Amino acid sequence: MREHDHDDPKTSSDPHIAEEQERAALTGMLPAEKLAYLQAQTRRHFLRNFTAGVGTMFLGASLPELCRSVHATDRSIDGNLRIDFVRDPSHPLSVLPPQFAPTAKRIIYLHMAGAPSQLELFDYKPDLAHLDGKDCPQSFLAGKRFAFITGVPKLLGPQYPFHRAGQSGQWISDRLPHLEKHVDDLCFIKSMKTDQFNHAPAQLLVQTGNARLGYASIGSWVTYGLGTENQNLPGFIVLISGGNMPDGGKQLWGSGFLPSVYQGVQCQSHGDPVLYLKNPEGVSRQARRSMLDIVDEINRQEHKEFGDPETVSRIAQYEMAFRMQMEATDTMDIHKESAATLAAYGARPGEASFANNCLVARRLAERGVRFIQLYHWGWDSHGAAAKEALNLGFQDRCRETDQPIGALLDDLKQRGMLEDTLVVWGGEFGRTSMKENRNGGSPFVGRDHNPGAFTIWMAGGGVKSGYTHGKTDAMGYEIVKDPVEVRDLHATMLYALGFDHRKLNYPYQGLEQKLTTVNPARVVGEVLA
Amino acid sequence: MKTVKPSRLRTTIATLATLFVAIVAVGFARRALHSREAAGLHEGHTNFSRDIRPILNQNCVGCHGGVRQKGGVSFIFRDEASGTGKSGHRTIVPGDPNGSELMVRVLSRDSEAHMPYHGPRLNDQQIELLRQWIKEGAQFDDYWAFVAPKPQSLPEVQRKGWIRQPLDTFVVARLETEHLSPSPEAGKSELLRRASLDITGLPPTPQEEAAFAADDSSNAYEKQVDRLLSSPRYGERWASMWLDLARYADSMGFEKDLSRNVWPYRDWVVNAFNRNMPYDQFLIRQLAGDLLPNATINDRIATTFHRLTPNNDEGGTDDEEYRMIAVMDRVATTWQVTSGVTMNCVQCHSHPYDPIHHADYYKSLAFFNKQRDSDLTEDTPVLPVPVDQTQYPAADKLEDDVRALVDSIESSDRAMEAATSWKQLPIESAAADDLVILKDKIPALEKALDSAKKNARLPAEQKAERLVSTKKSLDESRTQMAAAEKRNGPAKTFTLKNGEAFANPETPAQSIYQIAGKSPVSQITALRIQIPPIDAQKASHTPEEGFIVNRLQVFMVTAEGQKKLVPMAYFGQDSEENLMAAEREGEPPLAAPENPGARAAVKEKPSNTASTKIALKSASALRLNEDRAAKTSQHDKRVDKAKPVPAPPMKTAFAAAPRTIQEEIPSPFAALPKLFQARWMIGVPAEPVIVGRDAQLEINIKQVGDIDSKPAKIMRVRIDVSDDARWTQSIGKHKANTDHLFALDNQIHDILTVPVPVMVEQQPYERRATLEFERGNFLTKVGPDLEPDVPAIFPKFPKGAPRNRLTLAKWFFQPDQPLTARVAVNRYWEELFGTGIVETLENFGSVGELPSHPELLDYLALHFQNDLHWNTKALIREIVTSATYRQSAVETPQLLARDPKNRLLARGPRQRLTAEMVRDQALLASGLLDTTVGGPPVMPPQPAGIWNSVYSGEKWTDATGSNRYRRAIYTFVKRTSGYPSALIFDASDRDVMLPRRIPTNTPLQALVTLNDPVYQEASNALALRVIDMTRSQLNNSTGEDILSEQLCNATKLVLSRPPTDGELVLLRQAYERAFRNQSSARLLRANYPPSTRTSRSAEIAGLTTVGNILFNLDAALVR
Repeated sequence: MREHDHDDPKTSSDPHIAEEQERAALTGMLPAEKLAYLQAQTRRHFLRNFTAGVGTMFLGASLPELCRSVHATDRSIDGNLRIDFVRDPSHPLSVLPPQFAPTAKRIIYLHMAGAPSQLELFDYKPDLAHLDGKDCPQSFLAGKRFAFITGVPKLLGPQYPFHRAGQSGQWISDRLPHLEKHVDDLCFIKSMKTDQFNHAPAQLLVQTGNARLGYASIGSWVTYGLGTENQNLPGFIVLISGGNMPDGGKQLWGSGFLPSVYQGVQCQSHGDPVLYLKNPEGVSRQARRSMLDIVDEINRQEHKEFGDPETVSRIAQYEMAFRMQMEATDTMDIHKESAATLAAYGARPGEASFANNCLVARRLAERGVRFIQLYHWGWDSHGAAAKEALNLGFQDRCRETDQPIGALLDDLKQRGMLEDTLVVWGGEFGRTSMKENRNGGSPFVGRDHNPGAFTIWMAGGGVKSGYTHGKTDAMGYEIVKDPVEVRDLHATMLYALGFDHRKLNYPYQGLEQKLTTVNPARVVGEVLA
Repeated sequence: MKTVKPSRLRTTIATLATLFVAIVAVGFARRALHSREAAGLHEGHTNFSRDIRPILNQNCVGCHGGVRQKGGVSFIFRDEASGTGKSGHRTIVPGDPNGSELMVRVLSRDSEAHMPYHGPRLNDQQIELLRQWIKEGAQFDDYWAFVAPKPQSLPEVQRKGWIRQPLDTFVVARLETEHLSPSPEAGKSELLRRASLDITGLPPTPQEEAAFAADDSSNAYEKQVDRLLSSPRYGERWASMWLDLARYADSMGFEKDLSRNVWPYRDWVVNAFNRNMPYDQFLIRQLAGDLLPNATINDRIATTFHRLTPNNDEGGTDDEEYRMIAVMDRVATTWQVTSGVTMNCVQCHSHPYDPIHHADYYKSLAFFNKQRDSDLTEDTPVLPVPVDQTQYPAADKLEDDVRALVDSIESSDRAMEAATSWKQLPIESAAADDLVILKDKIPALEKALDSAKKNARLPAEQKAERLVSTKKSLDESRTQMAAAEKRNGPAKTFTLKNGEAFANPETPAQSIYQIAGKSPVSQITALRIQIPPIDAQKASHTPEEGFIVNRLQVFMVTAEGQKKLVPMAYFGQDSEENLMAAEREGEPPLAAPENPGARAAVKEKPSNTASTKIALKSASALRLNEDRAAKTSQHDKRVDKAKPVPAPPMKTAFAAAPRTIQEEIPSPFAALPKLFQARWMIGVPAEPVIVGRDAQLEINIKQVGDIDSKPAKIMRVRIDVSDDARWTQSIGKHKANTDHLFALDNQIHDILTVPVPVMVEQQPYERRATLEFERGNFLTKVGPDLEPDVPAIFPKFPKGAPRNRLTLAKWFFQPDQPLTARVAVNRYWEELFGTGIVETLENFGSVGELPSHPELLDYLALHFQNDLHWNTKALIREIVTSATYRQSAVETPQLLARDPKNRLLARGPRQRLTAEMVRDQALLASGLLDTTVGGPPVMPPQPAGIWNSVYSGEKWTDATGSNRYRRAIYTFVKRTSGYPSALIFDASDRDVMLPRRIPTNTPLQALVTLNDPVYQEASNALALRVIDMTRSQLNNSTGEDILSEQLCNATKLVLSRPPTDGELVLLRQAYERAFRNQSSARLLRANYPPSTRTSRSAEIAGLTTVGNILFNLDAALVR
C-alpha cells in the first residue's frame, strides 16, 4: 500500500528470521541448483514489464489497517500494478517467509460437510424453544431463496439441552461433552454469513473464495505463499471421512489457476496413503534405491549435455519422492501410536474414520505439513431420512467427531503445538430456524439451509480463547451484530499465517487473483489474541 | 483489543541485495525484451501506449479507472479523461498542460491534493512525459492488441543463409540486435523426437527413426513433417490442446457430477484437426454450427463446445442461477478462445484497464442468452447422434424433416391462436383437490416400500436409504391425507380477480386445480388455458417459478349438476418444446379418465377422440433426449440418492440411464424450469361444444411434479374460449401432421443414438430479455432490454445482419479483427516453443505481457489469415520446418544467464511432455497402445476408491482388453475427480477453460511414473517386446550381444535414440542387479505369457527394471 510505505513505528524488523529462511531455501540444494535458484530469483522479475512497486513487496501491512473500513484502503483492484507476492517458479515449494510475523505456522481445518446446525450445537436460542411449532413469521420468508422450504414452515426449537461451560461460561449443547472441556480454548464466530445456499457452491466458496469452479483453494494459496517445511511430505494434505466426498468434489482442494503443484494431496486410509506411493510388488526399498541411483546418474549425464535447469529440479524431485515414500508411509501409520493415544482419539487403525484422521492430522502437523484439511461428510440435516435427521443421524455425527476433536486439541496443547497451529471448525452455511416443512408428520426432524447465519470456531494459532464474536437474533436466523463474510474469515486466516490477504496474489487473466477476491475483505481483528 | 505488532522481516541486507538484483533485472528485461527506449522524448513525440499508458496504469487507474472513478475522474477513455472532475476542473485540457488538473495534482506539494494520493511523487521524467503528451494533444491510442496487425516487411539481416522460412528473418534480426547467434541445428534424433511429439503427441518408432537417419535428401526432414501431419494421430494430439479450451469433460460437474454423452463432440474435434478444417470454419461451427444454412449433424455436434459448461444438479439449486452461470461462462470462453481478452471482470463493472464498458458485457451476453438449455438434469436440448457415423446422413435427413414439420405445425398453431378473437371465461370458483392425488399416491408408495423391502439385489446401504426415504414419503403423505380429510373437500385457497384465479402460499401444490366458470359464448370450438406470470414485465428477464401440468381435463357441468367429460381432438401448443413433448407422449393422458388402469388401456388403444398415437416402441426407451425426460427429472432430485445409475457410466453407449421414475405420464404443458412469459395451451374439442343454459365449464389441472426439488405450482390461471369454426376445421390437418411427425420420430428411434447436448436457439416468441445486472447480481437487473452487440473497441458489428451467434462467429473472422489471428498463431507457437510470443495466452489486454517479437506476431497473424486462409496444418508446417524450431536445445551457461526463458529463441525448444504424452509414449513404446480413434470414453486402471461422489451411483470400472491401452485423450474425464495421474502431470480438471497449462516438476510425478501400475504394465510389456525384437534380429549371437541389443532397442523405443555408452553401462548394471535379485521375479504380472514366465523370468525381471528406469529418465519426460 502506497499509504504505508513508511514504517509503522509499532512494528519491528527481525533480520535474523529472514536470513534464516533464505538460508533454509538454499540449503540442501546442489550447487547447480543453487545457481538455478539464484538465477530464478532474478528470472521471476522478467515476468513483469514494470519497475514500480518492487520496493513495496517487502512491506507488510499493519493490523489496524487491515481491519479498517475497506473503502478507504482497499486497493485490491489495482493490485496487479504492484509486485505484491512473487515466487520463484522453478522452486514452487521452497519455504518462503511470510510478509510479517505469523501467529500460526500451520492450519488444521475441520470442514463438516453438509453444514451442521448451529442451533443444536453452539448458538443457544431459548426463545426459539418457546416458539417451537408456531408458523414462521412472513418477515423471515420475504425475499429469501431456500433450497427446499416452500409455503409457510413452522419454527423449530433447539433439539438438545444447552448449558454454560468452562471459565468463559459459553453455551454449548449436550451433544459435545468432549469439546466442552476445551470451551475455554475456543473462539466462536457466531455471525458467519455466505451468499450460497447449495452445498457444492457454498463449499467452493468456503474453500476457494468463489462459488464457481476454477479458483484456488485456501490450502493451495497457503502452500503457494509459504511453501512446505517438510519437503518429504506434500505441503497440503486432505483427509476424508463420513463415507462420501464432500459435495464440491476435488475442486475444494484444487489449485484453480495456480500451478497444479499447489493442489491438495488426498491421503487415504486404504491402499497407498498417497497415490502411487508404494513400490510395486517385488521392488524392495533397496532395489528402488539402486534403480534411482541409475536414474540419477543418467539424468546427470543428460544435464551435462543439455544444461537444462529443469533436469536439476527433476533429479531433486526423484530424491524427494524416495524420501516421501518412507516418510509419508510412516506418518500415516497410526499403529505407531500408544494404546492410550489411540483410545483418547477413539482411533482404530485401518478404518476410514474421522478419529483416525484427527490423529493423522496431529502427526502431519508435527512433521511440518502446512495445511491439513479434514472433511467429515453427513451433516446435511434436512430430516428427509434417519441418517440426516437432527434427532437421529446428527447425534451420530456428533459422536463421531466430538471425542477426536477433543483429543486433537488436548494432544496439540500437550505438545505445545496449539500455540502455532490454527484449528478451524465449520460447515459451509447454517441451518434455518424453521423446520423443513416437507416432512409433514415424519418422525425425522430437520432444518433447511440458511446462508444468513452460521457458527464456526477457531482455536490456537493466535486467536482469542474462550471468546465469542458476533451475534444472531433471538431466532438464530439473522445476524444482528458483527457479520463476518467468508472472505473476512479467509483474510483472518491468512493474517494469522503472516499474510496481508491483498498482497498474496497471483497474476491470471489480467487480474492479481486473490483468495479474498476483488470484493472488500477485512481481518477480523476482534478474534485475534 | 490488543494490537498485533507485525514485524517487518524482509528489510534485511539479504533482501536489499535481492532488491538491487531485481531492479537491475527488471531494467534488463525492459531493454532486452521490448526495446523500449526509456523515454520517448528523443523522438520528439510521445507515444501513448509506450510512454503514457504505463504511467496511468501504474499510478492512476486503480482509483480512476473502469472500476472506480474517484472524484469523478477516469483515465480509461479519452472523453472521460478530458472531462471535468468533482473538483470542478478539467482533468486534461488537450494542448494545455498548465490548465490540466492532472498536472496540477502531480506537481502539488499539498499532501491531500497531490497525486498519486498519499503516494510517492512521479519522477521528473514521468512528469515531463505527461506534460509533453498533453501539449501534443493528449491522444489516447488504442492499445496495440486492439489495433489490427500491420503488414510487416522482412527485416534486413546478416545471416541470410540461416533462414528457412520467412518467420526466421524476424527471429534472427532480433538475435542480431542482441548480438546473439542462433544455435546449430539439432541432431536428427533430437529433431525427429521433438517434431513427432509436437505434431502427433507420440515419439517416433525405431523404424521411423531409422528411415529418417538413412534419408540423406535435402528435404528429408520436411518429408517426415508431412508424414506426421497426415497421421491420424495428429488430430488426437491437437484435440488435447483444444479440449482444455472447450472445458471438455464427460461429466456435468458440481455435487452429483453425473456423466453426460459429449464424446461425439470430442471425436468431431479430432476429425476436424485430421481433416484440417480451416481455423475459421472450425470456430464458426463450434460457436454457431446450428445456425448455418443447411446445418448438418456434424455442424450441430460442433456446438456442444458451448454445452460443455457445468450443470448443477444438486437438490434445491435454482436452475435459472446456474443457467446464467453457464451463459456467462460461454461469454468468457468465447472471448478468451477467440481474442485472448478477459470479459469476466466486466461482469460486475467496467473493465478496470481496457476500454470495455459494463454495458458492453451484457450486450455480448445477449448473444448467449437466447438458447433453450436451462440447467436441466438431462441436459436438454439434446441431439440424437447415431453411434455409428455412417448413419449420420440418414439421421440428418430425418431430423431435418422433423424440424421442418414441427416448425410448420407450430407456426400454424400460433398463427391461428393470434388470429382468434378470444373471449375470457371469467373464473367463478377455484379449488385444489389434493385428496384425490394422495389416494393414488399412498397405495403406490406402499407398493414401492414393499418392493424395496423385497429387493435383494440392492446393496444394503442403498436399501436402507430407500426404505427410509419411501417410508418418509409415505408418512408424509398420510399426514397430508389426514389434513385433507379433516378439511372435508378441496382447498379453496384461491383469490379470484379480473376473472382469473391466483393461488396462495397455502394452496396445496400437488393437487388437481378445479377451475370453473360460465362460458361467454354458446358454442365452444377452442379453449385456451393460459398461465401468465404474476409480474409479466419483470418475468421477461427475471423469471418466476415454472410449472408442470400432468394432466388436463375439461368437463361440462349442467345446471342440474351433471358432469360430462369434453373429448378433445387435439391440444395446440405454444412452443416447439411442448409440441414435441405432446407428439412424443401422445395426448391421451391429457384427457384420459382418472383411473390409472384405463389410462394404460388408452395408451395401447388410442381412442377416436384423441389423435391416434401408440406408445413408443421399447427401443426408444433408450433414447433419452426426449423432453419427457426433462420433465420427469423435475421430480425431487434427491430421489436420485435412492436410485443411482445401476450400470457403469460407459458400459453401454447409453450411459445416462433414466434416473427417476415418474408415476404419472406427463402432459406436454409445462414451463421448465422457469416462467418467463405467459404460456398457453389450446384444447380443441372433437366437435363444437354446445353450452347449455346455466351450464358451467370445469377445467381440471393436475400437477404432481417437482421443479428444483420443490413441488411445481401454478400461481395464476386464465381461461379464454372461442367459437371460431376454423378450429374445428383444423382437426383433420392437425392430425395428419402429427401422425406424420410421429412416423418420422419413430424412424429416428430405430437408429441407435446417444443424446448429445447441443446449442438450440430460442424462437423469437420465447426469447428472454437481457438487461444489465447490477454489479453482476442476476437477481437485480437494471436498464433497458439490450440488443446483442460487440464491445465498442472492436470492429463494428455488420449492419443489417441478424444479431445472432452466427453473425458473431463470422464477425470474429472479419479481416480487420485485431486479435483473432494473433491469438490463434500465438497459441500454436506456444504449443511448439513452450512460451507464446505473447506469454500470457490468456490475456492480450493492456495488463498482459507484451509480445517478445511484435513484428513476428503480426507477420504470422496476417500470413495465417490472408495467405494461408486459416490452414492450420500449413501454419504448423511452416513453424516446425523453420530454422528457429530446428535449432538444438542445448543451453550454454551464457545463454542460460542471458535469456533463461529462451524468449529470444537463440536455441531450440525443450519442453516437458504433457500428461497425455507421458502416458501415450509409455503405451506406444511398450507396444500396448491401441490406436482406435473415437467412441465413448474409456476407464484405464486407476487406484480404487477415487470416485466417490455424493448421490451418484456411478462407478469406475477398470477397462479390460484394448480399452485399457487407448490414448489418454479417450480417458473418462470426471470433473470432481479427474484421472489422478493426468492431474499430477498438470492436465486440466476441465471445470473452466484453461488457456495454457503451466508445467510443474514435482515428486508426485516421480511417484506416478515409478509406481503407477500403468507404467509397471508398460515396463513389463516393453521387456517382452525387446526380447521378441531382439530374437528376430540376432539369431546366432552371444548372450552379451543379445543383452546390448535388447537395451539398445528398449532405449530407442522410449528415448527415440540409442543409448550413449555411459547409459548402456548403467542400464546393464541395473539389468544385472535385477536379474540376480530373486524377489524381483515377483514383478511378473498376469499379462505375461505363461510360457515365458517360468523359463525367462529373471531376464524379464531385469528388462522390466530397465523399462521402469527408461520411463523415469529426464530424457523420456521431455521433447
